[in-house]
Order: sequence, then C-alpha cells, then structure tokens
Amino acid sequence: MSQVSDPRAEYLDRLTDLLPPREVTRVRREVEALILERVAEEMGNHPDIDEPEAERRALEALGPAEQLADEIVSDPMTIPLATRRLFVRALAVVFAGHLLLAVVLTVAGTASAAIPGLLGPLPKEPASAIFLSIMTIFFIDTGIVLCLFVAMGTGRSSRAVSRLYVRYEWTRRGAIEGLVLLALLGVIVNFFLGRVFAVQQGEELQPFLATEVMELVPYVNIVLALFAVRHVLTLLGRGGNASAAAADALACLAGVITLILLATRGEIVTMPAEKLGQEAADVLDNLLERVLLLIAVLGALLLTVRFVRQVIRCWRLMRA
Amino acid sequence: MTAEVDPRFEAELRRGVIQLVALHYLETPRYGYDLVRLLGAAGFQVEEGTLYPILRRFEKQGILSSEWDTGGSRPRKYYRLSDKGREQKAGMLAAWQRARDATDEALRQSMKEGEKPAEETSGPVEGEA
Repeated sequence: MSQVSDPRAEYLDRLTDLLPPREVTRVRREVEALILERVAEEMGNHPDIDEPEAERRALEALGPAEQLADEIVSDPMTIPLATRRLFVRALAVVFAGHLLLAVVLTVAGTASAAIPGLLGPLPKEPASAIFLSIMTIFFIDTGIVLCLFVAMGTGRSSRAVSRLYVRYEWTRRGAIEGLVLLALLGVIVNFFLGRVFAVQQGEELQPFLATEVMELVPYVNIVLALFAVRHVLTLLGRGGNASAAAADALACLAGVITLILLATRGEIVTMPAEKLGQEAADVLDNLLERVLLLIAVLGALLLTVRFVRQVIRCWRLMRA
Repeated sequence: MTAEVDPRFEAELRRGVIQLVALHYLETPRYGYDLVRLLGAAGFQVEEGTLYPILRRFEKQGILSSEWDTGGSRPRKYYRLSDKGREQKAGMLAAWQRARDATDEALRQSMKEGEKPAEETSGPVEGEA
C-alpha cells in the first residue's frame, strides 16, 4: 500500500513539533493561511504550473521548518557560548563544594547521609563504588545547576555566577572590625560558652552543651586564628595577595571541618532533667539539637562555597 | 554596472528597514501575503518565512492587532497598526532619519576629503607604504 505524501501537512507537522505546545494551534493556522494564499497567487500568476509545484514554491518561501521555528520562538533555541561558559563555571563551583563536603563527611566517619539523597559520605572501597559515587554527585549537581539556570533565566544566572568572581572588599577598616569581632568570639567561646549556652535553674546557670561539643573548642580556636591571620595580612597591606586568599580558604576549610565534627557528635545537647522533668528535657534536647544541626549544615555549606571561591581567587591571583 | 554587494551586509541593512516599511503599510489592515506583495513592489524582496516571524513578534508586543476573516474562499488574518504601534513607528522613523542623516553627512565629508589634493589629506600618500 502506498502512502500519498502531503508536503504541506508534513511541513506544518515538522514546524509545530518544534514549538511550545501553547503556540502550536495558532502558528499552524497562521502559517497554513500563508501557504494557501501563496499557492493561490502562484497558480493565478502562472497558469502553467500545477498545485504541487505551487505548494512547493510556497513552502520554499517559508524556508526550512526548523529555521522558521527558531525565528518564531523569541528565545534562541541554541545555547550561546557565554551561557555555556557560565554554566560550566557554576557547575565547577557547586561540584567542588559538594565533593568537598562529601569528603569531609567521609573523613569524619559519618555513617548516614547528612541530607538523604543529596549529601552523604563516600564509600571507602572498592574503587568502582567511589568512582560511581563521585559521578553521581556530578550528575546531581549538573541537574541542580541546569534547573537553576532554567528557573532564573540566562540574565540572572549570569549575574549570580559573576558574583562568584567578585573581588572581596578587604579594607583595613574591615580588617580591624573583623579582628575585634574575632576577639569577642574567642572570649565567648573560651570563657563564657557555658554561660551563653545555659538554662537558669534556680539561682544557678546550668550549661546544656554536651561534653563532646565542648571538646571542639580547640578546633574553633584554630578557625578563629586562621581568620585572624587573614585579617592581619590585610592590615599589612596584602589584602589582594594570593596568600590572604589562601589564608581565608584555609580558615573556611577548618570551619567546615569543625562544623561537620559538631554535626556528627553522638550527643550535642544535654538538658538538665532535674527541674524540667525528663519528658520536657527530652523534647528540648531534640528541638535544640535539630536547630544546631541545621545551623551547622547551613554554615558548612556557606563556608564551602566561600572556600571554593577563595581557591578560585587564589588560583587567579597566582596566575596573574 | 554596480559592484557586487556582500549579501550579509544587504540582509542586515534591510532587516531593520523592512520592519519600518511594514509598519507603514499596516496603517490600513492587510493580510500577510498582501504585505509580501506590497513590499516586493516597493523593492524589498521579502519571503513569508522572513515576514511572518516579524508580524508575530509585533503582534505579541501589542504593536499590531489582528483579526481573522473567514468569509472568503481562504481564511485570512488581517494585521493592523495599534495605537502603541503608531508610537513605535514614530520612534523607528526618527531613528531611521537620524541614521540616514548621519550616514549622508559622513559620506559627504569623506567625499569632500577625497576631492582635496593628496598632500592636504592626513592619510598615507600612494606609493609610500
């Protein structure tokens, strides 16, 4: 059985197949009207040609269906080079950050995922499982960045990605303010932690942070000291130097490790049950632990992004 | 005999002008092929594949309004300039005049310089290289 080909229907099918569904009916009707008009005109002006030839000429005047579809859809269907480059940069930052967090979780010996399906420790063996886990992280991040680009549009995505490369305003005044803030934090962490994270019981303040958490104070001191080094380098007039960026990156990495250690402690909060009652103490324990965990994970994510930015900056400064 | 022109140059030059001329013709309602014919008669050989996306974009932007006529032997979509389209056309016309005047002025100046004796011009003298 032979099929009679209908070039007009075939052309319209090819055209509408490439258009967004909401445009299909309208465009098909409009383009078909144009074809019919041209066919009638051709046959009127050239009595020697038949209808298939007139239709061929009408379709030729419209150009290839794919090209017409490109012209009709206002957004270009091809991805410009600049967008591709921005996408690759954004993906590099997200992937590096994600992988770093996974590595830190692995080193910290975490048994379960921090964010199920999205962030967890890598397997330690065999090599194929490690490779597949890294590839999984890569594909998840590709999907996330792609969704962000689609949701935000090229313009806003470009601006967001370009912020990754914005130079930090490291001024002397900012450095002094930073040092003062770090000193205050150092005093609180080393001398008043038990008073700040405490509940009033009668006339006494009862600290509620678990001993395991209090043991992390030396790590916090290292983080604060590393950030202080960065500020000192700025004060010495080396704010735009690769060494200052490296110090900042190192401080961020230390911060990420400390926060992951905090999040992976067996016990974070121990509410005194004597006056609160066991049930109320358990509820408060649970609630506070969740809040602190959330803060730790978010803080780790922010510091990871900053770490990656600083590594990129350090690399750029060294190349310059 | 006129020298051969780079087709890209001509296409780029015509792209903007066709939009202005099409808007001018659409002061009265016209259907797509009618406009193709009118533009062709005015010296703008434009195909439906070029004109249709322009009409569609103008319609989306509210520069043109449209109406279907299904009373005849073939359905026809008539386009017409809207009030917003009239403002747009005025703006495009002013831009066109500015570009035309600037081009004319630049060409006139370069022609005057070309008429001057060689030693008065600032360019390199022939044969010096």
